This record gives sequence, structure tokens and C-alpha cells, in this order.
Amino acid sequence: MDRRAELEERTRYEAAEVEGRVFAGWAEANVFTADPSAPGEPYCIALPPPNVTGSLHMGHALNGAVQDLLIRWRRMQGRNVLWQAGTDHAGIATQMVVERGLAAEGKTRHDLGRDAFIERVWAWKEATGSTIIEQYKRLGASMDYSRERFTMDDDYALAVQDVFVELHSRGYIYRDNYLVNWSVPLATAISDLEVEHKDVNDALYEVAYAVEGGGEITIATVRPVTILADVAIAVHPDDPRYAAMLGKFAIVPMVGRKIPIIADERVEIEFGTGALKITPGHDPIDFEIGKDHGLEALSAIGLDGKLTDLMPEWEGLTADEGHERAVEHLRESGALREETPYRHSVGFCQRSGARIEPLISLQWFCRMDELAKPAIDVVKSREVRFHPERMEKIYLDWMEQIRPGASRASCGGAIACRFGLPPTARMSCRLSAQRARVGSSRPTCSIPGSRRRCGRTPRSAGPSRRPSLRSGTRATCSLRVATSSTSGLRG
Amino acid sequence: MLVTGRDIINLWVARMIMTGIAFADGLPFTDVYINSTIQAADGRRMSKSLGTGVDPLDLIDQYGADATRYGLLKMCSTQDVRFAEGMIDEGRGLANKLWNASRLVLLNADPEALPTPNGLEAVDRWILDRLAQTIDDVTAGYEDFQFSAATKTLYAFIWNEFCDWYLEAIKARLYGDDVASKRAASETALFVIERTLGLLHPMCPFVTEELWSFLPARTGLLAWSEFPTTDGIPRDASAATTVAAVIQAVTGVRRLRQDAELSPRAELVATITGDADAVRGESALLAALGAIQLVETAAAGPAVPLPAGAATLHIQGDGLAGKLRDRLAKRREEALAEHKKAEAKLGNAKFVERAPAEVVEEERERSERFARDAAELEAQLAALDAG
Repeated sequence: MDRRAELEERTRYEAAEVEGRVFAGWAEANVFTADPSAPGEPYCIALPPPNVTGSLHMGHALNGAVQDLLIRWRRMQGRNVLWQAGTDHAGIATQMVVERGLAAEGKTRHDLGRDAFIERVWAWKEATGSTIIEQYKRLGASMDYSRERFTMDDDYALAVQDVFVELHSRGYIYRDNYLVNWSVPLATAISDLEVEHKDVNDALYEVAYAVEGGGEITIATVRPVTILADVAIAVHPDDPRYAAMLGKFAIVPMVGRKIPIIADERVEIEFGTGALKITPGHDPIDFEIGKDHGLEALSAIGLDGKLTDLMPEWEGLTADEGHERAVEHLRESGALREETPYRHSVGFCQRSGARIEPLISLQWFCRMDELAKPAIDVVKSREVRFHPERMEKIYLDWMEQIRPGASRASCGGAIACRFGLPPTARMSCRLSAQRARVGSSRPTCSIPGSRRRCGRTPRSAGPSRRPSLRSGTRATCSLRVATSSTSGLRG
Repeated sequence: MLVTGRDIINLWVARMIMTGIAFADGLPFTDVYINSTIQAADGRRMSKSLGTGVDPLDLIDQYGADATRYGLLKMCSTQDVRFAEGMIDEGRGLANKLWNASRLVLLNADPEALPTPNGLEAVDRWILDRLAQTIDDVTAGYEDFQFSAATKTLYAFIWNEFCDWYLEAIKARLYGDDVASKRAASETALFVIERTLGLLHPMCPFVTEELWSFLPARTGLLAWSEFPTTDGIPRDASAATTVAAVIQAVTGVRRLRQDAELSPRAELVATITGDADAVRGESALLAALGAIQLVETAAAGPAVPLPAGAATLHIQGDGLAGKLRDRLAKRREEALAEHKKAEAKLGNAKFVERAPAEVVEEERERSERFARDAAELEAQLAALDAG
């Protein structure tokens, strides 16, 4: 049919009929494919990679419409454009999706073992990981799909490792214990965002501790089993009831350990008995107080959710069993003075539904001062501009607040999220894998304080594929670290 | 360039800048655009679990991808915004309008005509002037991340200026026998469509690419074509002023016909006073758009005055002034009656005491509104008598 006759017949615009055909036309002509050698001033946008498990929501659609507008406009203006496509591995979310599939077969990831499970995750990713990317195509997004990246691609992961090693060699990286939101079924620390708070009916137990040299001091707790890990009792410095006890020692029930009675202004005089048991291993406020007073953090419950050997005969019991034993023990010994119903807010793991255990685990930290300073300067000097301009304040406020001292949020968090699994285990594994590649012994993973061992071999082979941070291939090898400078592609 | 949400500033944005400087010897981007967060229509967070989410894929199915993009870009602002499905429907309307307009031109244009800025008539020069202004405004909107403003500019240009005025003005020329006039209208209309498709493409890529494929003498895909500039587009401020005056007069005449309950094509005549030469030169346009014939001498009886830029038209015909007078007087009476009714209610102490405050307030507003209407109609009647 000639074009004129065709147009005569098409009396209205039929989007559904047109869109697929027009998109295929663009794809066929390689309109979206970036060519670094093409003329024109580079213009580059990296898609903030959506979760690989995700489905296009309104936020993605708006964000995508804005980016595509800019990219199409600049492409038409003759700029050499790249809209970098990619998806994020989304760590726990992906793990959950794959585990649900396994559950349907009546299996758990432990039945498979680590390597087989990871293979399974990759298989899932290959099979269904492009759903959201296909949805971007429906929107008309003119991304370079031929360069699609995944945040666990070998090059990508290696670039992250490279940065991590470099941060380490510059002396920014260190490890320290930190109290985390631990999900026992997932065996991982989860972020505050993934904790759901619900009101729960518990009991509040008042427990008396004998004071060395006579007398006693009574505290209140909802979790008597954590008494095993107490390291101090704190009272308010202005509380006359306890003034005479300051500097003396109390005896921890059940275990008989001597702990100091200390003063701290964070204790509320009015709450409970006004005396607070300090258990840095199981409570965030206690963790802070313990740090300030130079107290040790003990763990009554381990990362496996089982009791530790603080009470050797209870070792290996579940936290719930431990709770029963502790209440029984305190009641029999007469230390339990009162038990009252208590309704309070408790954190639950959004994904597994389990009650959160605040536990001590070894975390990565990164000193931010030197990294943050130039990043603040470039925004202040408007080398990097925010639109609308007032968003600059959100950035600067946060950056200036993270500057002093160490921040857990910045490096450890980022790298943990990059690797998807508990940062400690995965990180060391990857690092040693890299060491192996560079030419030493077989990769092994040994983390102080962890029983994990991992002999996973890197997925990609050969040092030739190892991206160098100083090579001219940035735009092709990493979404996050840089899509810019050395290749000349810059947004 | 990075485009992301506000909650990502402390995550991605900060880390990309820090690691870019520390490990890649440079900045990962120089501009960060923070897009709005879209809330549900009632202001709650959009969420699947709350049941407040709207699936963009459903919108694409229902309205088309272009409409969805257009609506979202129109919602864009520097604040959080509430989702408004009407804006997406507006996008669908625009895509259809553009389709119909382009189809009309493509099917009725001189088959020899190529997209060319041909300023034969004042109205051709006017639409070219408006096009150039639109190119400047849309480009500035894209440049300054003012996407909502850019959607509004393009909508107004396509819907009002191009479809409602220009196409109406040239229809008779496209269907007529004047070869030169038909050629000029065809060339200019094709040119405006060609440039408009380019301007709109970044917002609505599908319908624009599809229409582009029907343009004569096109080369390649629109996605790869040059973004429109004002280069080579003649600007003619005096034509722009003249046509704006004609549009003002025609808008006035259309309202007059409604007010006097006359048919849209009822024959009206007008004499012209004031700075009249430019408008007089556009008598054919006045006739085409407003069905008004300019005459040298007025008939006996009253005329209705209408502004047309620096000139004034005095409209007569079909008993217009008398009918208008009757209608205006009747409407004034109605307004006064309503005003009195409201005042009577407000004068009733029981009503004022017992009715809820907002009901009383509403009544007060009614009273004031009808008083205002009556006064305005009074002024129109006075102007009519003076004219």
C-alpha cells in the first residue's frame, strides 16, 4: 500500500500498534548504541540501576522519562550520547526470590550448599533478570542496551575490589565491632530500612543484683537472658537513691560476674527503677554507653541465634529456650522481684518476619575525612551543580556531618550492598580471590571471628579482563565508580 | 548528567562524587537533576502494599507510552507532586490532535510541496514567528530542566496556535484554486509540522517518529535528526501583531455570537476605526476565521464595538445589536434576581444564626458574585449603547 493510502486509512493514532514497530526500527538502526569514536561532545547519563528483581514503578517511569528526554534531545543536538543501562543485584531481595523458588521444591539454600546456591542465583538472573529492562523499552527509553551492566558483573565487582584494596592501602579501611540488626533466619545484618517495628506484648522483669559490700540494686529488663552479657549497671549521676553505690560492684545473677556501677546522664531517673543494666552486645543505647565508658561488649546470643558459652551449660540453646531457663533460674534464686505485662515496640525483619536480634558483628568502616573534603569542594565551587539548586544543601549537610571521624555508613555499607551477602564473608572472599589472580596462592577466606570459609573461584578468567582503574575504559567497566573523565564521556 | 531521586543524594550521588575524584581522576557528572517524588492522588505514598500504587505499564497500555511520558513530565516540578491521571489523558489528546492535524496537512497539501518556511501571507509569517518563539522557549525549558513548562509551551503551540488558528486559517487555501497560495500554505504547514515533531520528540518519541515517516523528502529517522533551531526561520513582528489582532477580534466575535445566540456562520459585517490598515489588509483572514465581512460604511442602527489590537471593529448584521441588547438585559435581570434572593436569605436572622458557617459564607459569596455579574453586564450594555 502506498504511504498516502495508508495514512488515509489510519484515521486515528493507535499507540499500541505503533510503539512496538517504531521501537524495533530504532533498535535495528542502532540509534541507541554509543560509539566512543563518533564525533560530537560526549554526553552521558548512567541509569540509576533498578533492582534486578524489580518491576517498573511510577518513580522509575518519571525518572526514565526525564532521562530519555535529555538523552534524545542531546542526541538530536549532535552530542555523542551514552545512556548506560544496568540493573542492581539487590542482594537480599534476589536471595529471597530464589529461596522462594527453592521452597516450592521443598529445599532450602543450605540443602544446596553455597556454590550450588550461587549458581542457582545466577541462573535466575539470566532467566528473569531483564524484566525491568524490557519494561523500560515499553516506555521508549533510548538506553544503550548493548552495554547493559549488572552490579555483580566480573569487571564491575573487580572495580569495586580495586577501590576497596586502594582504600585499604591508603589506610582508610578498618574493621571494628558494631551492633547490627541481625536477622537470624537470613543470617545477615539488615539495614534500618528493612526493619519493621510492631507493638508486642512481653513481660517486664525486675531483677535484683547483689552489691559487693552489702545491699542490692534492681533493674528492669524484657530479656533476662541478656543479663548473661551485662558489663555494668548505670544510674543517673543526680539520682540520690544510688549515690552511695557509685564505684561499687554488682554481682551478675546466674553467672556471678562482678560489674561496675557507673553514672551516665542518658539513664532516665523516672523509668523503671532508675538503674539500667548495660549490655552493649544486645542493645544500641547500651552499645553507645559501653563505648563511652570503655566497656567490653559480650555476646549472650551468637550470630546463629543460639546461646554462647557465657553460661556453659546453656550453650547451643535457642534464644527462646534461653529466655525460659533464665526466668526459671532467676525465680528460683530469688533474684526475680516482679514480673509485669509490658507492651512495647519491637523490630522485625521485613523479609523473613523474624524478630531482630541486635548483635555484635565485625563490620567494615571507612574514614571519610579525606574522601569527603574534595567532594564537598566540587559542589561548593559549582563544578557539580544540583537542579533544583536547593538540593545542594541536602548533599552538603550530609557530607559535612559525615566528615569527622569514621562513618560506618559510607564505605562498609556501600561495599556490603555491592556484594549482597554479609560484608565480612563476601569481602574477604573476593579480596583473596583477587590476590590469587594477581598471582599468589589459592583463594581462601578466613575472617577473624567468623567460621565461614569460602573457596569460591572467581567467575571470570584471566588477568587480561581485569579492569585497571587507571586505564581508559571507565565508561565501559563500571556504572558506579565512573562513567566519565578518562574516556571523555561526561554528563 | 545524573537524574535521580532525593533519597539517593546521600547514597549514590555522594559516593559517585567521592569515588570518582579519589579513583577515576575526575567527576562522574557535572549536573545532578533531582526528580519529583510522585505521590498518590490523595497525597499518600505510592505503594503496592498500601494499594495506592499506579502501574505505569497499565498507563502505557491504556493511554500509550507518549501520553504517559507527557503526563509525567507535565507533573514534574521542584516539589513532590500528586499523581494526576488527567495529565496523562491530556497527553493522549495531544498525540491524537497532532496525528489528525498532520494527517489533514499531509493528505491535502500540494503534492509538490516540501517543508519550507514560505511567508506568503501574514498568517504564514505569524505561525513561523510563533514557531521560532516556541523553539526558543522549549529549548530553554529543556536546558533549565523546566520540563513541565516545556510541555505547556508545546501543548499551547500545537493545540491552540497551530491547530485552532493556523490550520483553520489555511483550510480554504489548501482546498482552493489559488496555486501560489495553496503552495505557500502547504510548504509552511509541512515545515511547522516537521519542526514541531523534532521539538516534541524527546517527550513523545513514538507518535513523532511515526508521523515523521510520512513527511515528504525526509531522510532517516527523527531520533537521529537535527533538533530544531530557529536558523532560517523568518521572524516578522508586524505580521505577528496583525494576526494577533485578528485573533483577538475573531475570539470576540465568537463570544458575541454565543451571547446573542447567533449561529457561528451567521453573516456579520463590520466597519473598522482606529489604526486600521494592517487589520483591513487581513480581511480575507477575518472572513475565513470569523465569518465577518469588512464594509466601508455602516448600515443604519447600532453596532457592537470589538477591540482588534490597535483598531476597533464595529459589528452589525442579523439584528445583532438588538438581540445582544435583549440577551444582556435579560441576563442582567437574572443576575439581579439571584442577588436579591441571596440578600433576602442573608437578611433573615434565623438563617444566619442557625445555618452552618460555611453555608452562610457560601450564600454571601453567591450574593457578591451575582452583584458583580450584574454590574459587568450593565457595563456591556452601556458600551453597546455608546457604540
